[in-house]
Amino acid sequence: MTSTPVSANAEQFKNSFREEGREILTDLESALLELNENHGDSDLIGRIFRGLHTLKGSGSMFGFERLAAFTHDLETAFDMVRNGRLEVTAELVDQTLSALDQISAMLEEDTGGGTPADEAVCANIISNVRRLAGIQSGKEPAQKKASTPTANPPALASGKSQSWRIYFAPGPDLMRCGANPALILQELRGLGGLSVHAEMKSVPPLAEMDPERCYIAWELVLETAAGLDAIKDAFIFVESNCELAIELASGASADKAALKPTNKVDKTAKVLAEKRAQPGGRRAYDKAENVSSLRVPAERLDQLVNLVGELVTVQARLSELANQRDDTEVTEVAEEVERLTGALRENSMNIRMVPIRGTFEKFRRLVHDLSRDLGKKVELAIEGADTELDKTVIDQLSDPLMHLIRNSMDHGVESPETRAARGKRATAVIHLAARYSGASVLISVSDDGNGIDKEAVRAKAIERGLATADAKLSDSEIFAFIFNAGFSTAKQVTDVSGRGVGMDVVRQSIEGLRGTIEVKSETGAGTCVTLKLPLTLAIIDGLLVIVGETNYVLPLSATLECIELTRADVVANNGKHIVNVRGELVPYVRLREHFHVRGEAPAIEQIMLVETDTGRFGLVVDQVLGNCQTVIKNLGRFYRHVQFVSGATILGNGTVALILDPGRLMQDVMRYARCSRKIRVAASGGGSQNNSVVSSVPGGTNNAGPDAGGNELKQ
Amino acid sequence: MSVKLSQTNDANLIQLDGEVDIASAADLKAALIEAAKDKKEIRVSAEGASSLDVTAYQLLWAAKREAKRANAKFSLPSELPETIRRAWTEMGLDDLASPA
Repeated sequence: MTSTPVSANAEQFKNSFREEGREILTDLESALLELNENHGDSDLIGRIFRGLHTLKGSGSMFGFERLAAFTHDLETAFDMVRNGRLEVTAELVDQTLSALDQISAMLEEDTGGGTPADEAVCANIISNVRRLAGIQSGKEPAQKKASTPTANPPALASGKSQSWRIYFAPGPDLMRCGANPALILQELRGLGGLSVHAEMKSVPPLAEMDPERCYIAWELVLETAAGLDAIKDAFIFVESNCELAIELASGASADKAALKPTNKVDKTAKVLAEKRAQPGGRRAYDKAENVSSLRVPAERLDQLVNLVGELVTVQARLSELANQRDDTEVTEVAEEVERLTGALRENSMNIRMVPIRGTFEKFRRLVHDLSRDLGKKVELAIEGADTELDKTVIDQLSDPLMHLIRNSMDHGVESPETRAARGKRATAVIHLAARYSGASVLISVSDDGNGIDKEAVRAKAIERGLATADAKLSDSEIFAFIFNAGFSTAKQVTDVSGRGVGMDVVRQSIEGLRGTIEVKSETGAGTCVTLKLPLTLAIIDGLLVIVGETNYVLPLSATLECIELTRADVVANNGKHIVNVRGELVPYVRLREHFHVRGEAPAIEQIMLVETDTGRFGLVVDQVLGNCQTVIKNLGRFYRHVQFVSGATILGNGTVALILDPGRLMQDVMRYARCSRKIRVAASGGGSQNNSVVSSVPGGTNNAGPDAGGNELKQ
Repeated sequence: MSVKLSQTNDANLIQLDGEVDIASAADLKAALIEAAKDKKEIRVSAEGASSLDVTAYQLLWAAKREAKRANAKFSLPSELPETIRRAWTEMGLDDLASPA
């Protein structure tokens, strides 16, 4: 019998540590940036120390020796800070932030991703940290192997030796997480004299044992001059995965037999002594409510969502067949399957929804570093960080947001002197906000800087041949130019921006996410760029309609109501495409006409009223077939220019339906109407009325491309 | 590391080599259950083991407890490698090598 190869487990533990390490680094970065604003915040100092301590300890445990050794001096420095022996300075924060970059590189070294850690930079950081903390390289503990944490002196020595009673019962996943109770006891032994009693009562019969779980609990008495914090630090890697009680014993030597777990001192302790006394008895952390979260690889979630997507398609087919059979029992089953599939879909989509906080918080560092590099004072204000979006969308948001912030800081925000001269606060504010809007999320990046110089943008657009000199352009049309590839009004290219690449990346990324961009700017007051993004890219609720012989899906979230349109109505309105909806005149578009569908329309058509950014309008279709769950499939590169089609879906009968984007469809219709008018004007010799925009206007606000009838709309 | 089960006429022998930890815990459990089936003496050989962690310890402890209840013999060598014995003592796990 041969056991599982250790390398597979070791790699699994390493990957777990990498994931944990990334989270710790994000938290550390955020805490350091906050500490930079408030040097005396002891909670932040404690958070940073614990983060560094965990990185070092876990790193060493999982074979990241270099990372552990590098982190050691930083941990020492922050230990000194929390003990009041070292002051927080901007330089210490900067050096630690730089160190985090190197730690991140060390963390990813074996994954083949990212740049490897720079030895020279690491040496320089360590040298600077030692100088700041007054650590002597010859004597200090960084030279020791970080894998021997017990060799460290007590972190907090109160001077007087005291007796502590500790109850420690590992949680079910403690061993699986790579933690080792032996190392914890070893670390405690490093603080002073330790008497140990192992409690075996919870060990179940052999056949019932989970071999990877630790059933043993320990009752300990520790004689030490170290304080409670130092004792707790020994459990820092496992505190969320164990029962722990620490209390000061009354006498110098506590009676081992009298030692019982207690939650008087430490609220994290869970006392279930009577249950624990039974072999295999469940512990407090076994309770379902204590299993609050589970780490699952993203690809497994993607797989789940793909499978649910397939299930939705098959379910649609089942419903279709059930409808054809006219069999009550089959119909009932099909309806039940439909209901359950809908619930499963909603649940699986919710699993992939993650708060945008992580993405937003990352930019604190960017703003901090750019402020320093550009000599500007900028605060980042974050709002709506708990807004949740599909992970796929969030993953693709970092780049566009980064470019928007860089652009704001380089071009929008003025120097402190200029701001002071203009009567503004020396410190500018970049506001990063997220909020829900129907089935979309609005993410805005705004600043209180210069605002966009409309004249400069207009002049550049004319210079580049994107607009004619006499073109009458609205503000939004002018702002849209900044998203053109290579478009920049910057007189100087800096390290930060000015090449005209960033905003093009923003446009492409947001278009890829089927989002739109809106820019508002006021000279001297600032700029606000709002990204409107769909909550999810995978499955949506849709309304199935038919035009001619083709099925289309309209997102249910955009539809308002359905109204009949008879031929008499059309005649009554003198052929104008306007309908009176309870006193409100709403324009409509006949999709038959717009898509050049041949054949005669039915006597009674349906107007689907939809709500878009540009207002309320109607889409005239032949028939509304009903609701459908829509698994969005990409149409591929060939159709990438057809912006008003956001994808396709497979229906229950196996046919394909195009998913329409009402907002973009409306823009397309309006542009087509402008284009036709221009052609008519040109044909009648009215060239002087030309108010054209020569280019396609990017950013998802207006896009050129072939329409469904194959007409080339590019002007 | 490895966990090997072999049989003699009067005993089932479990041989532990290298680092016996969570990675081999499932194998050790299976070996102990298999060894306990025919009520013969279970002999655990750990001379070749460099370390036995807490998961290995509690499996051996549970097997010993069950052997005792079944009036079967369960023995660990009295001469355990010093590193293992010291580690167990430091963790308060010190009565396993005593005769069942």
